[in-house]
Amino acid sequence: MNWSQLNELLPIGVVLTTSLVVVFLSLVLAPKDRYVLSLVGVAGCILGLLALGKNYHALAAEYGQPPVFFNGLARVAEGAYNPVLLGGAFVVDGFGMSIMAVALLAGALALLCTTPHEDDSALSTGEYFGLILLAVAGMMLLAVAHDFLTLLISLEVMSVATYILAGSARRDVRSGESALKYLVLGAFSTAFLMFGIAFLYGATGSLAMQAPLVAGEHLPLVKAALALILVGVLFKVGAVPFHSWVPDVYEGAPTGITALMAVGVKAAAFAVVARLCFEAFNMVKELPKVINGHRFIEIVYPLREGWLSLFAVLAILTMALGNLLAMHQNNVKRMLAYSGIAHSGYLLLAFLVTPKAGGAEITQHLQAASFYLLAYGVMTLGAFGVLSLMREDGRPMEKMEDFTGLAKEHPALALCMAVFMLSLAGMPPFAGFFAKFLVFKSAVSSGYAWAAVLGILTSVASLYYYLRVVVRMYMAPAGAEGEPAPARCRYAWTLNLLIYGTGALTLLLGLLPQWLSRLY
Amino acid sequence: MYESGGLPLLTLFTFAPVLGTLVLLLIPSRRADIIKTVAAAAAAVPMLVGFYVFWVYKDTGELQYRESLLWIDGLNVYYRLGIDGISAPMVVLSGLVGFIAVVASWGIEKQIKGYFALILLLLTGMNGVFVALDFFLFYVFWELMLLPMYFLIGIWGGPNRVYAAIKFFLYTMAGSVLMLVVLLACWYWSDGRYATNDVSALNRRIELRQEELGEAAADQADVLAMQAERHALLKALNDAREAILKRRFDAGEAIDKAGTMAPESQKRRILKAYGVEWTPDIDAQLAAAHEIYPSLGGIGMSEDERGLLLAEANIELERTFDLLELKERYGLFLGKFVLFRFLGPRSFAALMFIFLFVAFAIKVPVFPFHTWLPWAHVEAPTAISVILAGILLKMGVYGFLRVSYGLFPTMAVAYAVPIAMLGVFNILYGACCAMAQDDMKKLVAYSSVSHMGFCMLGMAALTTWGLTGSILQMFNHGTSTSMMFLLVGVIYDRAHHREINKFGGLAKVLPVYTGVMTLALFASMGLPGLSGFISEILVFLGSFRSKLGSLGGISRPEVSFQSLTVLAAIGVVLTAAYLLWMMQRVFFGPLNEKYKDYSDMNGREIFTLAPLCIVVILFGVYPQPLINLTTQSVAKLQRHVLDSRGIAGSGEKDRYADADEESIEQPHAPAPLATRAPKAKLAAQPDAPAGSPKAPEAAPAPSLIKEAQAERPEPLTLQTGDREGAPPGELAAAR
Repeated sequence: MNWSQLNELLPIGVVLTTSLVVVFLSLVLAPKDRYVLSLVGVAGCILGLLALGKNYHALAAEYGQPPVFFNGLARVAEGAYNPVLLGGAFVVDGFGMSIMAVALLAGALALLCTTPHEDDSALSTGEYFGLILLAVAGMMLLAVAHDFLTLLISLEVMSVATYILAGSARRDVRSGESALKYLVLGAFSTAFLMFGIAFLYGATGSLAMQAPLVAGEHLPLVKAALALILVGVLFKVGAVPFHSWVPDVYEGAPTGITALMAVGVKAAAFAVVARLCFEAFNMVKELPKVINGHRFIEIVYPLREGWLSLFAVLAILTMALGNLLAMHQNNVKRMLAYSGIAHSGYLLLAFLVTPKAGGAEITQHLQAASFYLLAYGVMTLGAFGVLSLMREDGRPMEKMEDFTGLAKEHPALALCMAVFMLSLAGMPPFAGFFAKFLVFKSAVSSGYAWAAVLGILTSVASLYYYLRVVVRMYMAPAGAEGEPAPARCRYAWTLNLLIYGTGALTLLLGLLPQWLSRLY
Repeated sequence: MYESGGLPLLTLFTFAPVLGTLVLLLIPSRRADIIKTVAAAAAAVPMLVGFYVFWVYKDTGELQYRESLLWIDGLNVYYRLGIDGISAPMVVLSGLVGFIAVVASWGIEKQIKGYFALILLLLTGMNGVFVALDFFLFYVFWELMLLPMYFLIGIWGGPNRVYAAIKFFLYTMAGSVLMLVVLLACWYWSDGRYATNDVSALNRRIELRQEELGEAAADQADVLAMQAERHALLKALNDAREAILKRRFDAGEAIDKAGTMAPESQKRRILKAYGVEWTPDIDAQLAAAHEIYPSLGGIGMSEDERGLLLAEANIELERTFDLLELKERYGLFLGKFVLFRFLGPRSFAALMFIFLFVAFAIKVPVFPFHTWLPWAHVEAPTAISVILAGILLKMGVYGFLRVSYGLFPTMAVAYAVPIAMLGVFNILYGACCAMAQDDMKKLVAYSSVSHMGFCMLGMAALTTWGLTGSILQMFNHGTSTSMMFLLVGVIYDRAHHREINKFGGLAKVLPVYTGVMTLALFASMGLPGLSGFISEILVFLGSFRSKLGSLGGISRPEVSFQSLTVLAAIGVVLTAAYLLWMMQRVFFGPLNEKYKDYSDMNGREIFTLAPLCIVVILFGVYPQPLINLTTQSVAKLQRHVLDSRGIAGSGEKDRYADADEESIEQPHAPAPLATRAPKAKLAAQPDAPAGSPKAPEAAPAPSLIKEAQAERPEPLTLQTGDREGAPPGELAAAR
């Protein structure tokens, strides 16, 4: 084994170490100093990001650029960067790195959301911060997992940590409900995934991502296995028809944890979707042709041929249902949960490729997907950040009405929130517009124009509910009960800073999108 | 890269206001005076640019003051700005009205900083729309304008502001989304790998299908479609080859200008700006382009020779958002079909044209997409109403001329009559609604609906006078309606209501106000000597002469536009009726005692209105400078649209036979409007080629009106050049 390769996994190591440090530190700190823990955790995330950036630069300096997406079928040229680590367990490519960055950002926000004067003591114990970091580590592992065993383990590291975190507001009934629902349904979906993996192993004797390639006569079993695996993953993504847990779980969990789930878990799950779509779903079909004793094989893509329309239909249903249900929500957190479902639908569009897509096309689609994930991550994190600042007498303020007059009381926060809402709705010049544009473009260029058109239409419908928040903040309807009560916010400089940062990034990514795509 | 050297004028025009916004954000809110001064200064920059353009701009039909910079690499999105004769009047208008609106907002008391920051952002969005040459950029500016407008209506508006703001936002957003679909679709179809192989393959397919079908083949839809596709292909091949060579030619010229000793990095930059890839033998290639391009440009090269040249070409076009490039490639869109499961195949171009139509019609607004307008106007603060009516509505018509007519010229011809019908309906419907209003602002709002109908009618007619009239109407309506909204704002500031029937006899206490209002009303009404007259009469004359289309299969195609023009003329009477009636109720009759202490207009109000008064009178008496801004570009656009019929394929040809005849009767190219000497007959000027950049300077006072009134018998439609060779041989074969 080449130990120097572990360098590529350094960011994950940093986060794991920090999680242990936080847990041990909590033993020696007085309860009132617990906020130090979250700062240590954030420092860990920042260190992780720095390590990631350093790795990327080192790779860029040495090999040009790391491959955007490593396809197990590709042969790594002599002297080029070989992203395969530890005998194929991990593959650190550009796509995986971008997902890792999103997970780290989500972790930092989740840590900050629960900083100083949280009233529920359970939220500020050391385990809480440790678990957030553990979940982040799980996400990062999932982003680069390259065989089904590591995939399962990292998925469970991430999931178990989030099950606990969802229930961490112990005094809040909704939090407990959220945790229970998440646990039961999550375990159910993991069972599907495990069954799938077991079938696959039984059929092929391999757990590698390319295992389906050697399906041979067990093709039907392998197909069933892949279907089960897909169910497990789509559950984590929150795609229709596996979406029903999302609103309840998101609403009940503490806001920081909701942000972590909405952004980090989703990004990691989409990394798995990408690995499955573009790598695992290749199967070899033997051709009857034999020339000079060489048998000829053809690689077929079951997902791309038979299931692609199904994928498109799922995407459309997810977008439509998410947006429709979000319209009637009066709780902003629940509204954001439904909007998260809708955004999963848009993201699924990026995975529609032409049946015989080559490397360049897949690269384009993945760039669209990872840009979308980053943009969605930045703006959703910001929105949840604002939401977690809003509380009065220890009671979280999540209703639409609670946003009334925020623009007067806290103009900067309201401006950021407006930017996030408009960006989520896909208005130029914000990041959300460009992300949606890329996704629709990729759907159009692979022949799914109808899906793109439907997507565009649902995205107009989404404007309605995003604007409701903006209207509340800026132009609260002239009072039936006189002057509306001003919205109250607590203040935490770290979180405020993060919100302004994400706000600026939302604008910046919209104006200079190529700044990001240079990273590939 | 800024291609003309010197100051990037249009960037300044677009982004000066948003710079003002950034400065404003640094000023503490309590310093209202500084905020207002900074805002006015930032808004004055585009106005000065507008004036500069007005003085200096010489219309050649080409885009000028061009700037281009790579914006988003992977998508081929460029930051491209430029103006031609269609946007130049809009640049002038937008600069002027924008500044006036900022000054007119002096009275705002609520959240001053936010208000001025947003209004400046709004100006950036609107200015950007008028100068953007990249479809993507156009779309971004189009949307950028939406947000500040939404907040300006929703926060600073009247009692129903939230409803009005959301209605405005959702209507416009629905339109923009359709535009986004077109944007994506055009980008997607704009690539093409065209080899002569494709054409011969199509030929074979057509032959096979014809054999299969036997005699009846000629009328089969799929054969016709294939033939249309073949024409489109040939045209695209030709255009693509020419475009590439032209680009290389231009790049070569630019490099020559930079000097052969220029550093290689500079050469590369120049090449990139022209979209030419750098290759080691680029110098040789550029030299080759130098030799080939002039010969392709038409000097002594027959169609066949051109075809031979193209036969070697296997051209791969990159997908693009460049409006000019897309305009050149419109042939690509013609052969495409969109398959619907239930409707069967539908022409891609028709579908896209309709999408774009809805997008722009919402902005204009065209009935039945107009219902947001009265709400937005009534609820918006005065200055925002001014911007809405003065600039924003023009974006719709401008969009038609720039995008719809550029990208889908065949559809512009095919849908000329329906568009004109909607325009005429707008005129009449708007006027009738205006007559029924009690609220002054609502009346003015509906009068906008009515007046924008003239723009639609003139535009649909596709004659020189019609198009010129349409552009002039945009400008003149922009100024006169701005005046009216400002004046309504003046009286509202004093009376705090706008009910027409509650006023009366104001002429006695407010003489200056009454005078200015009278001027505005008369200008809007189209009284000779004031600006509205020129544009309306041009629209009428232009549309009366148009021979596009026919209503219900009447054999004389000119009948449709003639009857529509007659109907539209009723609108003028209605306009006079509602405006005079309003005037009578507000200014004359017994003085309402409540208002006897009112002070007349103050200095600031006069300051905002004076420039508009001057403009309205000046361009009423002497419209030529304004017309000079547009002539060549109008001619070019008209040529682009009408020429497209040559390759539109099949059934179109006969229908427009008459219109063509007229062109062919006069093989010489007539001088553009501006350069025609007052008494010279068209036939006496055989040597001035249309579209020539070196057209002689305008002769003094060629007063169009006199010409019009003299009812000169010659067709004054600007011809489309030599049309005898236009219908390709293929087409004849298809028939």
